[in-house]
This record gives sequence, C-alpha cells and structure tokens, in this order.
Amino acid sequence: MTHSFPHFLIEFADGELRPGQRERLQHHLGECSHCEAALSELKATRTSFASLLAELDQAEPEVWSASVQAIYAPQRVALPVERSSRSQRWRWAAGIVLVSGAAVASATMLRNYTFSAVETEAAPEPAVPAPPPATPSGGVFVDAPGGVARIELSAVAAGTRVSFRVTTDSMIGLHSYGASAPSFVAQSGRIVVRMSGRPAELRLLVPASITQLQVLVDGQRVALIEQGRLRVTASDRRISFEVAEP
Amino acid sequence: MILQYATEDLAAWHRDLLRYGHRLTGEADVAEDLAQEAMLRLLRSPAASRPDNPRAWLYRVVTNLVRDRARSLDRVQRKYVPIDADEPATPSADFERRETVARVRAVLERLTPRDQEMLILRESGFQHSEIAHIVGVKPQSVSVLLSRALERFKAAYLSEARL
Repeated sequence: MTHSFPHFLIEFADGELRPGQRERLQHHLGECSHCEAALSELKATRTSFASLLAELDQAEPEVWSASVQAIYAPQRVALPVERSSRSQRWRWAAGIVLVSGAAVASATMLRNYTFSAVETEAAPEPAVPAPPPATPSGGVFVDAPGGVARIELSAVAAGTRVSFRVTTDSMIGLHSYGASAPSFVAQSGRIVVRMSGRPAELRLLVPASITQLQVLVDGQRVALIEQGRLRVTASDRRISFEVAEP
Repeated sequence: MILQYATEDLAAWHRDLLRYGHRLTGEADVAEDLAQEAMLRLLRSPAASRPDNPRAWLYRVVTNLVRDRARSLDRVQRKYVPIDADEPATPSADFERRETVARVRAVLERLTPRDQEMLILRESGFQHSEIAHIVGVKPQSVSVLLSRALERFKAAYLSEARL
C-alpha cells in the first residue's frame, strides 16, 4: 500500500472509513512510519485547534448557561389567547385595545395591579387616551416552553426609550433589530432600549416562569404582560404587538 | 401547541448554538441573536416539516446566518450600547475576556470562513455527512476540505505564535 493521502487519515481518525478500508489502513500504519507520523501530526494539530476553541469558550458569558436553563424551565404558563384562528386572535386583540382604552376600565384595571419595587422607581401613571379607531394590536404569543413577545415600533423619535421591567426573579432575553440596543439576557430589573429613530423590532424571549413584565415607552406604560397575558394599558400608535405565528 | 422536542434537548441545542455562534464570530451578543433566531425558526416550523436531525439543522441555520451577516457587515453598523448599566462588568475581567477572544480570533480569521466552520463543526462532534449538510458541500468532499483546513490552521497557528 502506498502512503495514505491526508484525507484518508482524517477519515480514519474520525471513524469514517468502511471496515475493510479501515483494516487495510490500520495494517499500513503498522508498517509505515511516514504515515504513522502524519497521523500523529494530524492529531496534534487537532489538539491545538481544540485548545484554541477551549480558550474561546472560556471567554463566553457566564450568564448563558443559567439563562438558557431559565428559558427552557419546565413550568409553563398557558396563555388565555384564543388561537383557533387568526381572525379570532385579532378580535381578541381588538377587544383588549378597546377595553384598555376606555378610561373607567383602564383605571379600574390598573388599580388592581400591585407592583413591587420596580414599579416604585418611576411610578409612571399611564395616560388614558381615547382608543384609536383601528390600532393594530395583538396578544403575546407564548410558544412552549417559554415565550416570544414580538414588539414592533415605528415612527419613534431618535432617543425614545423603551423599557422592559421584569418584576419577578426571571431571566428574559431581549433581541433587537433596528434599535440601538444590545441583545442580551437580563435577570429581573430593567432593560432600556434607546431607539435610533428607525422602525425597529424587539423580541423578548420570555421564560415560562415569568409572572409580570411591563413595557414602557418614555416612561409611560403601554403594556403589561402578567401571568402570560398581555394587557395593553395605554394606546400608543407607535408600538404594536403582534401575535407570532407558531 | 405540542412540542416534538424535549426541553432538555432544546436547552442543550440552544447552549450549543450560543457556543457555535461565539466561536464563529467572537461576539457574544451576536451569538445570542443567531442562536435565538435559529431556535425560533425551529419552534415555528410546521410540525410536518420539522427536520429529522434538528441539531444539524440548527447549526446549518446559524452557519447561514453568520454568512449573511458577514456579507452585510459593511452595510450594517452594529452598535453595542450598554444602557442603564446598573451592574457594569468588571473592567479587568471584561478586558481579559476581550483579549482572549481577540487573540483566538486572530488565528481563526487567518482561515477562510468555510475552514472555520468545518473545523469547528468537526470539534463539535458532527459526522462528515452532517458537516456536509450544514456547510453545503458534497459529503465525499468533507475529508479533503477538512484536511486542507487543518493544514491552513497549522500554518496560521505557527505564524501567529511567532508574532
């Protein structure tokens, strides 16, 4: 047998050779110091590469493991969103806007919420404007095991701040497209996105364990996700919530 | 909605994708974007068309997203703005982390993107047929491409070590 091509040695090292080929090469390696040395060198190069990757892996954010575990926590929150058809979902969404837009209903609803420490920070009193004629709204789609709230913003001035406040000890992931904000995972507290002035899409990966999340635009609470349910607490044409397709 | 996948698998895949994205780009926030995008695509895909090998499928999605990102990097300027940094990262730890990433990436970036993908996928435990599927090459080409990638890595590694 002549000297083996390097790619045969790789297939050998990776266990990709067929049994007959493997035995022949194994036999050849026992007799050929040249190929044996080539195989050793290949393995050494691989070890160097693996070591380099290990260095890179050590520079990963420590929070990743915990955040992924939180996202895929076994407990789940069922959404009270009608999901039998798109039209039903939109009717449900429109209902929320109308209900939340009504002054008496909104005031009553908001009084019923008790916010913890995060709420006392700014204590924004939501304005109660008249409901817009046909504001697109929606629900929050919570896909098992966690959930994704997809929020689109348009016609927002540069520097507008969109805040997400989490009042439970949960991790949420924020991924922004078009906004001037990092994509990251945060544990409770507050995430603020400063808008760049362009339409943007924000996606919140909401773990199933989350019980309350507020969405604020320039300090004004526009939505509340509580017990897996979205409530639009103030109409704002700049922000829309979409039901993500499963 | 009934999931076809065990939550343990989903968590493991998501974690793997974070690592893969980080290895390919060296940027943690980008890796998070890529991993989440891939997981969302998997979870949103119709049950009938879900892949037989979801892990390889997810890696393929991330690979393509990284390529797309590389193509549009000149056009899109990403900004990393640590807003309301109530808990700023420790400067020294952050500096060391960035240095490590920069040093390793300096070696990896001497390779072509495909070389990087193939070598990283191999180290991630994929078989040659899976690597072919993820990277988009013929299965019979994988060992040749891996061999050449390893040679180029060795040259880059030695060259970087001399600097």
